[in-house]
Amino acid sequence: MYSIILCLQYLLRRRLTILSTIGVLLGVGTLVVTLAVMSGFLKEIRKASRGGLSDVIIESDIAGFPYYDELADEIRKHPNVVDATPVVQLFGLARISADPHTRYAGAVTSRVSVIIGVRPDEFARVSQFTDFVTTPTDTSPETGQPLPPDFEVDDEVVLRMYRRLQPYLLVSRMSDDELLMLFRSSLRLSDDLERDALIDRMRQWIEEEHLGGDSPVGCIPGIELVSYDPPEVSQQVDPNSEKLLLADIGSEIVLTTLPITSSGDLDTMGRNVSPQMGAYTIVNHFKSRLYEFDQKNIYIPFTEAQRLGRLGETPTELGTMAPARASQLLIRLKDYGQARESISEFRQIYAQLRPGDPYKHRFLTFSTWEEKQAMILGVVQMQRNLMIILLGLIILVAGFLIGATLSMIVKEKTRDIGIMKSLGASDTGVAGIFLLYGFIIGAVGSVLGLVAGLVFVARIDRIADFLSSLLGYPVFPPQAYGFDRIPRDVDPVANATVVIGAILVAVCCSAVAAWRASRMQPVEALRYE
Amino acid sequence: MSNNARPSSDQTPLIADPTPPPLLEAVDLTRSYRMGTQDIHVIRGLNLCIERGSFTIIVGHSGCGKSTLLHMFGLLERPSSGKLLLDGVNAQAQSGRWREQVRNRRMGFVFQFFHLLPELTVLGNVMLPEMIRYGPLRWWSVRGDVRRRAMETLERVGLGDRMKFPPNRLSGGERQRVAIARSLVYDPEIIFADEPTGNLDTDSGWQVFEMLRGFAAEDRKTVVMVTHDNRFLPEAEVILHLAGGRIVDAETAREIEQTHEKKGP
Repeated sequence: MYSIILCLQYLLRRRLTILSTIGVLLGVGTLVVTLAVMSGFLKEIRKASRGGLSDVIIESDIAGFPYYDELADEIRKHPNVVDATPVVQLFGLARISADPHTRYAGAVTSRVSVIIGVRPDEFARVSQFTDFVTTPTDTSPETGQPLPPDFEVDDEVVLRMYRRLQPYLLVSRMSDDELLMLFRSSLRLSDDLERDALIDRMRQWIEEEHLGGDSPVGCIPGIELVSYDPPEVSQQVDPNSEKLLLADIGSEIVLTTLPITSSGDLDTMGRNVSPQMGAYTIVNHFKSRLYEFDQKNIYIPFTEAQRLGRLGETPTELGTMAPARASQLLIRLKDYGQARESISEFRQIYAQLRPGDPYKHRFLTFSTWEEKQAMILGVVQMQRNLMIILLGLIILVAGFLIGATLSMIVKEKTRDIGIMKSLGASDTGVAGIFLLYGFIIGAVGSVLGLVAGLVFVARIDRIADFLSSLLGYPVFPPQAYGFDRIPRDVDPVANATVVIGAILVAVCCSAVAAWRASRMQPVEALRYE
Repeated sequence: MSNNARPSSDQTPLIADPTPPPLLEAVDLTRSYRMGTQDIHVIRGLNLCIERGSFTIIVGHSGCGKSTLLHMFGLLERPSSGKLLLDGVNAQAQSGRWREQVRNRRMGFVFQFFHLLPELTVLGNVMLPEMIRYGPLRWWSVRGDVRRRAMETLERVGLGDRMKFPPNRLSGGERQRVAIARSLVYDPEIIFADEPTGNLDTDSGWQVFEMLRGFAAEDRKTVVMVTHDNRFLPEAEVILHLAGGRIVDAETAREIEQTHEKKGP
């Protein structure tokens, strides 16, 4: 009992106690915040990079691989597969003209982009495509779930297209009905046309006047691909300031790419290298919050991408038809934990597919999405681990502070230790006083640190805003980090580990002093002046 | 030499001794330190018995080994050789835990410098031996009892109104009374007092001595006291003169009285 009472007395009577406790508190607090933010980063990056991909990616080289639908059908039969979908991936340029009603009206910008051809229904089933479009899709009347995004140029988009084609500022402020009236009067159409008919007429007019008779094809670009961050905006510290969206829904993007033949050459189509071009109407935007994706990716319909990349069936010099090609096959698994086993089975499935066929691609790679994103995931993981080690040093310093405090107490209280021992106190009992001291400081400091850390994490956006306004520059520029808010992920297990670790460090650091105290001979301790 | 100093005997009696063994018996007790290359013998081959219920005073010049002897008796220091028998049990052969328990339950200590813990109140100091005795769980069931007993003992030493005081607010004499209360509270068999009055003025020294003497007589406690103060000698039942690590003279109360009569007017 005396161990507890004296330990509490020593705790309450010393200012160094508070210092040591604050040391532990700071160490644990910063570690909790760092863990939360870094884990949040990792989680967001994982989510984002997985969202655009799927669980397993079968990928060819840039020339693409044939028989993708056959392979997909075979793979869908695998018990661990939810769905599979082929994807075409092209590298090209996106030419974006700023909407007439923005500040940069008429300006044109060309950006490097990754053109991804998908079958939207299938693609939404294997990825988080539905969650990542900025304009929410309609919900399904049967399931209540949002429907997968599509590339359909619907009435809403047609109205926006028409609005964009009228370069008058006044038009930007018109309601849809006023816009329809404007259209009606400009073409001198009769007044008894229904709204739907009028929009159909509008669509027809747009196709004839602006698309050379073709129907518009939808596309879904990454939000950053069609945005611009004017320098004067980024210098203002205003977290609510949005980047300027250059091309909204209804705008047109012209994509250019160089086709590649199935043998991997540039498709020269005769003598000159001729790029393929296509104009697409924005029907939605894509925002995975992973800057890398949002800034480069643009989704278009699968067949459109095949046409653009000349990946469809092509006649060969021998008179046969070379089969159509895709770049990737995305597979969603039921149990991601079984990915490795499933992948080796997919390899076998592919090996048994059309053996000996001359067009069969020989260089398919099979990887999980994590392996594909290993670079970016690895960097964040390494940063997180490094931070944990560095901040763990704070706890170690606090531990040494506890050890130093206790050494002083033991020296100062040598005679008291002698008294206790002469009254029959055991070695372990005396050691207990000081171990308990370390334990209590460790426990109180780390629990307070945990609470402080969690509060900090909960208010981290506000704190970042405050720091930004104090320092005059954004402490968390979204484009540098890839996310528009500071990610966080509070992991109870990790936090418990930190708390227990801090307590252990505190107890271990007090063990030296406790050992010294317990080894004292009563008579020598009593004589100590 | 009186019969208090017995010759050493390693012979085991064949027939059980009907008389109980003395409370404390030293057999050929030696204590030496090594200083550099030299051995310093503090206690040299000392043989001695302390009988139950006796009041013994050890006198001698500074450095003659009085305190060392007392510490060895109190199991605070181990002898270099020889045996120390407590109730016939060889203390040297016992475990550390046994020695701790003996110190905690059967022995009381009063020191020259009081040795109270500044962190605890007067009452807390008196309760300390019992706090040491019981673990935290047991403590909560015995706490009330221990507290009551400590308060009674403090009343007995006349400090009933000082219980909540920290020790440093008390005078030297009061502090030593707290120490006496601490040594008495758990009803030990033997009390060791190492110059208990050495740090007090004449009056409070006498008061403290009287108190110790009184309690010993009342509760039939064995007391071994080291002192420099000749005033207390006539009160003792046994006086041991220590010099050069040996008992040079031992007298009983009767002999002392005779000496005083001879010297008397």
